[in-house]
Amino acid sequence: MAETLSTERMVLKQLPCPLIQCDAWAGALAAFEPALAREIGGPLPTQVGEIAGRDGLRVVRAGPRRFWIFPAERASAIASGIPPELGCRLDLSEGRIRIEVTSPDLRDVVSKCLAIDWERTLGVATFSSLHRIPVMFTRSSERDGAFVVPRSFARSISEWLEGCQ
Amino acid sequence: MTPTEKRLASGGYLDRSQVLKFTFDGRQYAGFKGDTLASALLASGVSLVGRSFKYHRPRGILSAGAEEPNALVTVGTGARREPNLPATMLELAPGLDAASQNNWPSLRFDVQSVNSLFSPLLSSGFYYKTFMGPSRRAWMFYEYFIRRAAGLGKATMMPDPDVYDSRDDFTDVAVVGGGAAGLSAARAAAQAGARVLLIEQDFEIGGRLLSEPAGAAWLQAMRTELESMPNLRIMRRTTAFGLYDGNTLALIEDADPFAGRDMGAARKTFTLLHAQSIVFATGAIERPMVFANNDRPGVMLNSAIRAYVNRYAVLPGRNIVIATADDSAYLTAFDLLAHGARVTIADARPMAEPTLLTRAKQMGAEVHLATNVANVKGKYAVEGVVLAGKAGTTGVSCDLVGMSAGWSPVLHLTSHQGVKPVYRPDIDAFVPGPLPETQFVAGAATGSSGVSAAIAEGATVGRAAAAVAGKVGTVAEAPALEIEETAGPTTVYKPIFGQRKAFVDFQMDVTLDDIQLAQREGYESVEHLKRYTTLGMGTDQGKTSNINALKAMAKLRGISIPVAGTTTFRPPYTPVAIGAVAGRARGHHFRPYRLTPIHDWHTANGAQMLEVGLWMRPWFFEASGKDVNAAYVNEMRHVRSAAGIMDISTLGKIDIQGPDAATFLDRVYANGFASLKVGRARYGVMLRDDGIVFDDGTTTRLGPDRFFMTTSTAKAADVLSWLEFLLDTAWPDLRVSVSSVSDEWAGMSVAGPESGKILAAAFPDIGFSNEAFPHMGLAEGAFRDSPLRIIRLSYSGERAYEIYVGASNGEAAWRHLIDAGAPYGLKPYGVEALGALRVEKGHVAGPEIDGRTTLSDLGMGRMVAKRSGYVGEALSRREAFTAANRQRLVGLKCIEPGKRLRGGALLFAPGEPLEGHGHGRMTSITYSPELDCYVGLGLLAADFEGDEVIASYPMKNEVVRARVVSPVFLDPAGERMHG
Repeated sequence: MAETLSTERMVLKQLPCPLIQCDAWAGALAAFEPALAREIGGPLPTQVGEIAGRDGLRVVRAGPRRFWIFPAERASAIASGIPPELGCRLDLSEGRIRIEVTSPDLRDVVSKCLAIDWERTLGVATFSSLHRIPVMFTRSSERDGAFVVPRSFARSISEWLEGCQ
Repeated sequence: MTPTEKRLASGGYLDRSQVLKFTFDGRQYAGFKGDTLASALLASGVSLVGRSFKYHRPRGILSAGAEEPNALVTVGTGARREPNLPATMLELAPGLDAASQNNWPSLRFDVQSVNSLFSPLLSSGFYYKTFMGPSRRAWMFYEYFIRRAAGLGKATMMPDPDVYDSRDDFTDVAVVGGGAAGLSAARAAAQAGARVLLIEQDFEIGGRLLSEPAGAAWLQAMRTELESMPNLRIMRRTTAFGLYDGNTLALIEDADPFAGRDMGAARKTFTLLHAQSIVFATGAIERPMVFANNDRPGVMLNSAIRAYVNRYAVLPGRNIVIATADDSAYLTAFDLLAHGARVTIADARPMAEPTLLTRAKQMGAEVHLATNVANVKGKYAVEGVVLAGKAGTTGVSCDLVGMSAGWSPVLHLTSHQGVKPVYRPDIDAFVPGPLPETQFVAGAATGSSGVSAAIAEGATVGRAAAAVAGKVGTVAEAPALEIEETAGPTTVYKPIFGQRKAFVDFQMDVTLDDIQLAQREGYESVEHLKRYTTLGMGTDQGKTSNINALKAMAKLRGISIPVAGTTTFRPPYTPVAIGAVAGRARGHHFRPYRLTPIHDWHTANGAQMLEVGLWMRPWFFEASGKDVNAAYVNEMRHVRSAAGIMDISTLGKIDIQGPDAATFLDRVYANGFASLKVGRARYGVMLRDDGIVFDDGTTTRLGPDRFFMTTSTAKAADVLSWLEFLLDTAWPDLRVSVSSVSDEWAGMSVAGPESGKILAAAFPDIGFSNEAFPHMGLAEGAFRDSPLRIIRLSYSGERAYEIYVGASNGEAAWRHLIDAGAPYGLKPYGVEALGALRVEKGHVAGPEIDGRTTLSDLGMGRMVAKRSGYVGEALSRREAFTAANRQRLVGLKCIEPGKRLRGGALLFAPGEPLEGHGHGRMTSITYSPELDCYVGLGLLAADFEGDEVIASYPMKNEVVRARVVSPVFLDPAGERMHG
């Protein structure tokens, strides 16, 4: 699925969002982190919101003991070897939509959606609420950003973003 | 003087190349870009601009800022009519259409000005005393006429066609106020390296420097420097109207009328600004003097006169009396004299600064010390004043009166978070009290009277504010400003009692007499004074009146000014359009909506959609009937006789996994879950801490350490939050992860006697016999590239299956089932039928689990038996929950042919008066095709005797007899479900 909306000053795409969530049990984080790092073949982000990436795989620290892994495509094997005594894994690839927005007005659009500090969003994942809906926002430039949103709200949020131009 | 003579030939911050035409009360005028409506009217010789609130007295322009109490106008027509806008803050724009308010038939001849003749009868509180009789209902009669007689402008009743925005913004340092102190603070903070946002309510930065001809070059240099700084933003036309927790400022920004807005652009923008530190450089407001007829058109604040002369190049009078208790008024006099006006200074103080006196006399002014204005002559315009001095009274003819009783620092914002203002007797003013370490004040807001001091203070606090954000870069010294300074007041100005029509609050028509009356009647506290007289309760919130009023009350009570205190400062500082706060969250975007993965199929196949919470759900399908009443009954019949398919994607779905997941669920649910076998589902009920039922649903064990929980649609978010709360606070030792997977799965229920065959046809790899797949059983697989879960559960009482498929293939799975079920008559049904089917079966839902019922109330007490250790257990055994008259779930069957039951009806015993709350209520009803009558569920007192009730529905004046029966109307043995 890829729905695209183009206007004079905004291109908005709705895309599938493969996502694996990994949680560490309380007290097991120290052992969990190296185990997960081995599973994904690289270091983990250390701060909430920080993004680590390699080979099309992006890992976001979504909470002190929670990691979100975004593969380029759905892959059931990712992090499947986490020992159950350390934590767990949940495939959330069906329930999220990635809304990519390209606009010279992106900063203005975001200010009407999220209570987040634009200057501190470049290259990090920001967890906030849009229209009272939990979302994750990332941006790679002044004009290119992406919202990871619950699938059921994707159309409503897209319309909202479109109206924020 | 002709109108054109009032505009000076040169000077001012005007773009004279842009002549702007506008209308006021239907007459066309012209002004320049850079004018306000007030300055353009004054330049055009218009001094009468409004009528007062209560007495309909003629009013002119008092000020040149946001404090204006008199010159309120209505702008626009039709849906865009906006009332009560101060002409002093309205930036003149092409085509501006303004009108005066509160007059009929015209501004000059206003019939209701007769009120002024009755003013002795219309004193404060007159309507509380006068219009209370002869009966208790008399006020209701009088109120209509009183409200019509008094008032301000009238808002439109039409929907607002404009667009508004609501947004969030962040900065290191917020500087509120773009005067000398604010500009200096912003510059210093930005040079130190901080991100700075400078907020100015005017369309020009500069504050009172705009009235200082000697400050023009400094201001221009500062503006150029600030506008070139990449880390500094300037928001003009923006008022910071509230300060909230966490250094959050609420801002309201007007669109630039010259910016050429697009169709979709916002007229106003509401911003929540999150700042690490704040500099309040909000300046000060000049106070009026209180004397007889001080409200006549042509009586203005001295600072306003100076602003009109120097900023707007308008000379509002030629023969001017300057009344003052403050040195700053002399600067106004000098500017007027320099433009050839005749000036008489009435200084209330016995002595003024000698150099000022000398200069005034040298320039030709007549100066009277220890002299007050006692009265103003003229009705629609000032014609003269009566001065009262040591030598008695003297009449002086004039066409303009300036007045100054000192300055009030603008401390509204600094007080919004509860910081009490502190009185400074040396300047006769309240100043902000001690502020949090991330907030700073500079300039006139601190009580400083000089521009040089303001610049120095601004630089200091700008550096300090930047340091809060960790920015400590080098700050160059601000350029010096050579400007004439005055020392401020040298004595405390006090209103003189005994003067008639001496107004304290111009907007609310409150006089000194009213304050005396309030004091005589015991309303001595400033808070009581405010409410009794309505002082300070206008749209200007008493910016020019509060201090004079509390001074008057302090004098009457014989107490000091700080003991009298101030009223409480609350947001908003200036009126805020509600539309701006709402932003774009209105109409279609009032709240978000949720769509199931099957939504598009529903709308393409005749579903009438219904908003349920945020979800859009099929209410009924048009193929089932012409309206909902016909359709849902047909859909019920079809489910009972063949099979129906329902979109249940909206159910809350929660993934629960971890080594301690079973233990967790055993504690969360009132009925046990530890014994649930893998591959089996169980109905579960959760209680709140207080023993009341919280929610119900089913949970299926997918593996030894993994469960799939469903919740009601309405409680999905609440249940997840509850589970997370318990894990974080009550049992942090449990190794359990809970995650919402509501969006992960499309859900559909196939119910009816043919459901097993349909499932078998759709998923031939799975066995659907009773033996292979019993009630409460689970099967897992895949549908296309998505996971598939099928659970045999029934909400309707029929044999039924819940099919969950990865959301991306939800619609495909739905279509697949529709196709597979076609030979068996499978049809879709909506939520109306879903609810009706569950009522027939006696299943409880939201109307019964309403936050007041217990397990026993709902007939589920046996589920928990002697279990213990679950959430809510202790308080569920409270004595009150076993009271004899506790309302319990019952079934109710209509026994009057042709009549119907209604949800919400009150239940009474036959023969008893239909009064009060009765013995219980109907919670859910439906027409039952099986029984050919209306049936329902209800909550009825357990000690109710008899098997018949009267269901009363007062809203429709309906009364119907109903039989009390078992809540299970259909198949009590469950043969359909298991068969």
